[in-house]
Amino acid sequence: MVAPEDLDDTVRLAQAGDEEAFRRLYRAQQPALLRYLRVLVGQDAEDIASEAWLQIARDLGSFSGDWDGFRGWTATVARHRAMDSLRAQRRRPQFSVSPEHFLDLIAKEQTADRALELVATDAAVALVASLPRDQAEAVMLRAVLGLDAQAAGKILGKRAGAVRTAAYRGLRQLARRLEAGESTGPPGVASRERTGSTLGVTTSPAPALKEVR
Amino acid sequence: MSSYEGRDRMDRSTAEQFLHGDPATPNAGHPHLAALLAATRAPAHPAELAGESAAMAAFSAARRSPTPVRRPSMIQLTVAKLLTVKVAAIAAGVAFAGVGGVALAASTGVLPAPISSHLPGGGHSSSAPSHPAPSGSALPRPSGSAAPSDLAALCKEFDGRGDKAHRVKALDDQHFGELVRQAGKKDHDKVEKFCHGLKPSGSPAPRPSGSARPSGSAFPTDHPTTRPGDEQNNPGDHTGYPSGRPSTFPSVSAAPIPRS
Repeated sequence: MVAPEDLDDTVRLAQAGDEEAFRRLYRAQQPALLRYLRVLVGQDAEDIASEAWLQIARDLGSFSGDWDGFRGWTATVARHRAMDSLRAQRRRPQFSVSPEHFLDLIAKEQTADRALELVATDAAVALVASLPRDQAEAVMLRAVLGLDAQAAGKILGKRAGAVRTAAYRGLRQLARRLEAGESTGPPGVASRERTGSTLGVTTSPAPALKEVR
Repeated sequence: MSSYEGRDRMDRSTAEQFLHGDPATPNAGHPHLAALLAATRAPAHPAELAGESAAMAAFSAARRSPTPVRRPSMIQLTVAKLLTVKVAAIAAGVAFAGVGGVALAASTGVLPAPISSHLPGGGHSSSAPSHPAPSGSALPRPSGSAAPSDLAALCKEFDGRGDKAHRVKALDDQHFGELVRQAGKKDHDKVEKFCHGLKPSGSPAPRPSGSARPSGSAFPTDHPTTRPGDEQNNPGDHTGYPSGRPSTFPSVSAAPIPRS
């Protein structure tokens, strides 16, 4: 997601009023921002992202920093908007794609062909969103928005070490679910299927939970 | 099933590699996790950029009506200012052939020091809107609510109208209408008292906008302390709106900044 080219100049140009520069910033940052918001607010992410960009466009002049700073700042703006929305709504985020969908792709060995499709992206993000929120946010801010632990910690109001730990735990849990083909829901059909899977008997939910700690 | 155990046990450095998207270790023994992260980092899908036009519209709107927080318009204002200086230089050059255009422009009241140094309080300009008031000419304001500094300027002018008889007569002058309105009554003592109460807080120095003197005309003034070049080099050093704007060309600099 992190654009390879140096976008520091683009940030400066946009601040000076260059429309095309702002468009480049939008295209470079919006997908990551949207996916991060998806973790926070589910299918309201597009609306919240629009609100965030209104504010970003308005306050760009008061921002000071380079491309790294811009990514962190926009994530902060987006997160504030998301938190406002969550407070106002008082309901759990809704997702248009279930996290199990990504597990299906894995099971059908389709991730390689379909990894670049939007549905795969949405399902992957939904799977990350099924983590405890601190872990999900840490994973998204670091892996998708490309922020380092310190920058992510600033956004989350945590120390860098706490962010590293949260991201680490999140990845471990994701890896476990993925390798096990385990869903987040209560053990049902999925767990019966697992009994016959090649992964063997160590995949029952209880020991898996124990290992998380 | 040691392989499962091996996959499950992810150490922190492996996790860091995944978080960095380190291409050197694309799988690190966790192909599914690698696939998951690749999907979360996939290039933009067109549907994800559906809000682009709205964002661009917001950007344009923000440029048209900047909020007080915004500062980048200083650059645009500086550009406009320099353009104005050029216009002044050309005009002056036509009128007085042979005289250095920029040097002349620098002495035609274009420059900021006399105005900005009379503004009350150093912090004043930072909270002011970044666009100048359109009435920033040398003419007195016919009406409308006056800023304290304008009132102070009026007071000073009122004070300078000779003896009491002259001052009483001056109250009939529409020029002092705002002062009378603020004082509450067209009464000499009342106005004088009002002005007296105004002095401690506001600067007694007249602001050109409230003054009827011909200071805003194209005649040279005697304090060209800042040169156009300084403006160009340090646009960010100016905290406020462009007090250095030439008062002779209010229509140019007060207009919205043209964008290419």
